[in-house]
Amino acid sequence: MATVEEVKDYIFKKVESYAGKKQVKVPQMTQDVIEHFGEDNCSKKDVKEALRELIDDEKLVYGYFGGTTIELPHKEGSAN
Amino acid sequence: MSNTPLIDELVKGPWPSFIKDIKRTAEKNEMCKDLLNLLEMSYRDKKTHWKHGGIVGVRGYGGGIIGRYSDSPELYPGVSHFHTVRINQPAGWFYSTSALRYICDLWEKHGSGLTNLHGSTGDMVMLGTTTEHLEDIFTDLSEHGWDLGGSGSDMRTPSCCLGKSRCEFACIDTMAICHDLTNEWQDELHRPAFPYKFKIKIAGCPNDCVASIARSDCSIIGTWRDNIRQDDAAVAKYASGELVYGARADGKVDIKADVVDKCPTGCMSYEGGKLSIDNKNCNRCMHCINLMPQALRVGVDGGATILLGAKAPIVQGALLSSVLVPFIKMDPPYEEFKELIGRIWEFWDENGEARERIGEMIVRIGKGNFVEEVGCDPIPEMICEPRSNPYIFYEEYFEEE
Ligand code: SF4
Ligand code: SF4
Repeated sequence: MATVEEVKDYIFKKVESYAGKKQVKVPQMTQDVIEHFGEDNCSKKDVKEALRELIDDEKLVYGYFGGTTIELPHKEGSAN
Repeated sequence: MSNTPLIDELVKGPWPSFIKDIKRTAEKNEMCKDLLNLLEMSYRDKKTHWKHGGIVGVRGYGGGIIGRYSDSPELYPGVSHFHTVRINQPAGWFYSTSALRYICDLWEKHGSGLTNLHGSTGDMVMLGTTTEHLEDIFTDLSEHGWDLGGSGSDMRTPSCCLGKSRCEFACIDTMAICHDLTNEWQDELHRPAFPYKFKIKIAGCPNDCVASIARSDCSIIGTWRDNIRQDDAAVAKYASGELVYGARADGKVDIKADVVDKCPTGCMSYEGGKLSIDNKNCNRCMHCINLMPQALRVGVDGGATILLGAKAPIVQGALLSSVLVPFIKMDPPYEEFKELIGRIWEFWDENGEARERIGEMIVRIGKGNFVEEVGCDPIPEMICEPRSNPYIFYEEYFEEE
């Protein structure tokens, strides 16, 4: 079984690698994480919990790009 | 001369004008002065001067605030940020005057003072504030028992008609259902994780005063499965004109012409002063009950019809919702309904494309497939047109060979 910390770490690194290149949405990320760890080791609930912690700790934030995305914290581009 | 001649045109004439409202608020709010100037510039240039803002938000929430920035902050600094805050409205939109006064005071303190009650989802919409004010607004609202509504790819704030609180037609307790579902699905409301938005609206009867059939991904519409309650003495009073129907000039109801002949399923008859209803062929359209509410009443075995798939035109054209479950009891704690929605979300999550509403997904994959996947029973009414492709082979056909 993957631990919450492992799942958080995987999600964070993925979002970090996408920064400035690709917008990622929660359903896609969930599928990606489950594929990575395997269905027997990680459920949707685990991904939800890991995301909740990342957002509550402000390591990641929600964004919007034709639907809600998850991103690294940043100043809104439009605010400049 | 006014420095906003173009938008001043919108104040002329007998109609209500949003410009008039903004001008009145501008007398004591600087943001509104710049808002008028920015609007005038948009009318002059024939293009919007708002940029798409993305999400600004409060800690932990992915919805409820819609970022808005102008492209001319140096010209009109008062509206360089003009974010919208959605507040979760109370079920049935019941407010005390002190609650409304609190909201207005809050918005004069932290925002433009402009409000929009209510947005099409149902929320109270507070127009125009800046990023620095957001956490303070949220804290203040929370301390006073309010919460933000939904936005983005989440479950939007559920809304309902006033139901049993005031309406004799209500077959279900819409306000209790709305309140319960809002509390049950707090994560889905505040932490967007769906392919796109998902709206739930609850109407107490098929009159559908919340327009759920046109404006929600999931419509919960009150109905009944026993018989229409009929008071023959009151029917006679409508016939004689002693009881009147407000929509006709003379007040009288012509039972044959107005009621029976307009029954969409032809399941009523009126002979020798006796009104008869073949209840098993009644489709609960409410027409006869609306015309003679003192003679005909909804049945007592109430529940709801669940419909899926309405949306306004955004990525694709508009859709009306269509029936998924013809009748379901809606008594607390609404387990059967919640389990059904759980299965629907699960399937949409796995099969929905980005920015695809559930109604669009059902059209794409076919209602038959969807109904099977979410474990519902097919009914003849789900077929919208006869099959035109003869090259369909059923599994049984192959088994027989
Ligand atoms: S939808 Fe029906 S129950 Fe609700 S307010 Fe309208 S008429 Fe009354
Ligand atoms: S509710 Fe509608 S379908 Fe049913 S009997 Fe009345 S008019 Fe006919």
